[in-house]
Amino acid sequence: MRSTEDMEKFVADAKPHVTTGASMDRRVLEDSFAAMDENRAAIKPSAAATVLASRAMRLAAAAAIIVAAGLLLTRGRHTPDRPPAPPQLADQTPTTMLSMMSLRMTYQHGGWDALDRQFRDTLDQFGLAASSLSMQQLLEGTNGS
Amino acid sequence: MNNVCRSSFAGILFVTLAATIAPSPALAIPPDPNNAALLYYQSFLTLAQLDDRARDRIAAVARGDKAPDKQAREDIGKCAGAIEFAEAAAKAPTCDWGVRYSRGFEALMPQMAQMRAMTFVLTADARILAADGNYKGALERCLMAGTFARHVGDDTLISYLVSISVRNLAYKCMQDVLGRSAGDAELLQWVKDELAASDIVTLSPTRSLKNEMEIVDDLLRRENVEKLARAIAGTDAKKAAVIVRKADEKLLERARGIYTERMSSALTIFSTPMPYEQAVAQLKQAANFDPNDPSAQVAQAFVPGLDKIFSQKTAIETHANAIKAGIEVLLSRAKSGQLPNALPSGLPKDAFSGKDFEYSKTKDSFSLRCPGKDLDVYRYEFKIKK
Repeated sequence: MRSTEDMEKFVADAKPHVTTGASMDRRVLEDSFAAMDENRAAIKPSAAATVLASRAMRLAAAAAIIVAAGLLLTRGRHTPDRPPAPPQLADQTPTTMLSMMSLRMTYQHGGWDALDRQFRDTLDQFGLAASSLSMQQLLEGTNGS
Repeated sequence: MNNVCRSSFAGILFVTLAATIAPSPALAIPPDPNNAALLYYQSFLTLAQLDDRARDRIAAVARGDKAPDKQAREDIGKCAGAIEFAEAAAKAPTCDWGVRYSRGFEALMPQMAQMRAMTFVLTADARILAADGNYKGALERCLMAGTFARHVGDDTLISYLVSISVRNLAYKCMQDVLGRSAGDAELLQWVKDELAASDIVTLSPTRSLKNEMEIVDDLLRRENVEKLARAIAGTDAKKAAVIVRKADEKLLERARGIYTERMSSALTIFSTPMPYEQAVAQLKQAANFDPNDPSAQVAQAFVPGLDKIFSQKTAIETHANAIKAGIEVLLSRAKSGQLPNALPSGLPKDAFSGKDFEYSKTKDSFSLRCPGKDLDVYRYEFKIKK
């Protein structure tokens, strides 16, 4: 059989059903979140408009805002509505590529081919063996050297 | 009388002390590890430092794309220590790689890349043994690679995929070596028996998918949203921030529900006997998500290509069956002196169709093909050496 016929290739060709790439997945996800934001934004003004339609309610709302602002000022600069800090992304150390998450998401987006490339990159980064020290080097610094 | 008593007492004391102080030497030496992983890790540590070209040479020999030349033999020769450790590991009764599963998706699995490298080394060594006429040695290496594949395990989806790739390479090598040892009925019978014995433990994606379900269920929670963002957005901090901000508990709860429903459905399909095409169609359906639903999109990010995994599972089962059926054909030839005109009855079948392999022969080879499949990847050829 030719090399292209062997099962290794077959496994390599069998990419996940998720045919979209990583960027596409992220874009779709982001679009979905954007759509959700729009929906929320669309709902909020209409609810606010209904509430503020009443003159009495408008006065009450203004009073509530003044009270809230006063409370916040007395508490100093630490506002509870401050946007959350961005998430701590894991340091992209070489070991990141060894994590189950990294391997799994690599397979998710690129199939076996991508996973195999990552294995190869891992070997390039870390080498086949962790140590090639000679016995003499190992004993350096000890009393026996 | 006193003297007799004293000497008896001294004798008893001496024997007791001797038994206490000098136990048998066998008990003084700690036993070899029961855990194969400990030996495999030593094997990985003793693999020779090989550059890209050497690794490519080994891979080409292992795949059977290239005959082992002097350089490839030298490369493999440098890995003799590693192979010896792997041989010992294959005999160990258990294998626990010590993965810290409590860390979920953030558990490190540095051994995976080394496993892949070791597979090429073992198979290339088998090819060298075969090229030197040592067919039994070559088949032993292939069987050892099979044991290694089982030891790689199916705890995670990545382990399962790596184990398939190990078995795949070993089967391909075995297929070639069997053809060369076609005249040796005793050897063929030995391989047949060994394969039957090794069939007791089989790997399945079901276990890895179940484990993954637990990990993902934990990940799709608000308290783990940063990990979730890292998984989906990778190094893109801006996108990760969007996910952290918007993936609230309600969205995540729905995502968990969708994910669990789809994966449970897939596990049922995996374990229910049904025609291959039907299973693939149902698995494709299970992986179909609403692109406008953020919860569905989050769930989709963690649902693997289920139909492809099922296809790989079926393909490796088919390859295993083709090897067993091929051995029966070769045994028949060894007894009668010629290849049979038709496939003997009662042989392992093509796992895709559930039917017998289609058998065809030429003067010096025979093929087993999956019925209804035209691609050469579904054809298993055994070239017979005269």
